[in-house]
Amino acid sequence: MGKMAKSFKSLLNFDCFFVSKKKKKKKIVGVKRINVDPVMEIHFPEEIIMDILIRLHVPFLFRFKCASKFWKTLISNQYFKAKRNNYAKNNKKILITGLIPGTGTHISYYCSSLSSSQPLQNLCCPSNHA
Amino acid sequence: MMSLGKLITLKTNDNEEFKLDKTVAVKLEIIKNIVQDVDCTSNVIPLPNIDGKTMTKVVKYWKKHSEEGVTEVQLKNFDQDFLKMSHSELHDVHLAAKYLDDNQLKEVIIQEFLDRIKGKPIEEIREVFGIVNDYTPEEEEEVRRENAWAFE
Repeated sequence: MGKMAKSFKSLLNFDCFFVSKKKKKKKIVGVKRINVDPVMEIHFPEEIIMDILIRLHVPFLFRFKCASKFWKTLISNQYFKAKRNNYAKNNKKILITGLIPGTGTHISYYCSSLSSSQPLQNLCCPSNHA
Repeated sequence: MMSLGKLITLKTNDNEEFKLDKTVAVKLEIIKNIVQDVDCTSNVIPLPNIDGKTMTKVVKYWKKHSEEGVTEVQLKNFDQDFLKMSHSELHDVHLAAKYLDDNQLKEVIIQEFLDRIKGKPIEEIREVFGIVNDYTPEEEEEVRRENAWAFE
């Protein structure tokens, strides 16, 4: 295969990637659609991979760029970055401690998300006062 | 008020039928919407994106998690056991949870995926997600060099 054909192929890959992105509204986006190259076998839909990747710390993400070209494109993509930032913002946690009224020394710990959509989480922790 | 004991039938794409108590089924947004739209007591809700094998797992999870009087420890043990499946089975259940809009189950599965890839070398991560390495050895070396700091 000539160089021209090869670059055309990668161009195709790229275009298809964005086509599937525009159809985001659909519940599940089939990544198989971008399978221009038979070697490029992806079984996981893009959305599911994103769900997992947005939860990773940045160094892991950079490491994962080495997994495949598709992942590198996905991780470098602006849409992914925005999605990840949004996730990080909504999932910042703060720790709240409080004395249980009347018990004197008993302290309870709560973990709270900064977004109001998630409930206060009661943390069970080993207590020295039990 | 929802009457107790009413059954709802969910039918998967390979024609397997699951009869669920309505009180369990309507916990899911998507099923609740379908139930509200049409009177489903005699009808069957088709699930065109889910096969029977996967649905069996999902239903098992729902049933356990809506059991009355089940303790947190019991649920934790159940989840641990429940998640012992192959990468591709786990992926199928994730897809089903996503389709059914079951956020709790989805989070459990995402966490399991994260646990499976944590600290693993790239080769094993490819295995978990069924990724074929499409880099040439030269390209891979280059991209590893660019991101070398992340491997330290």
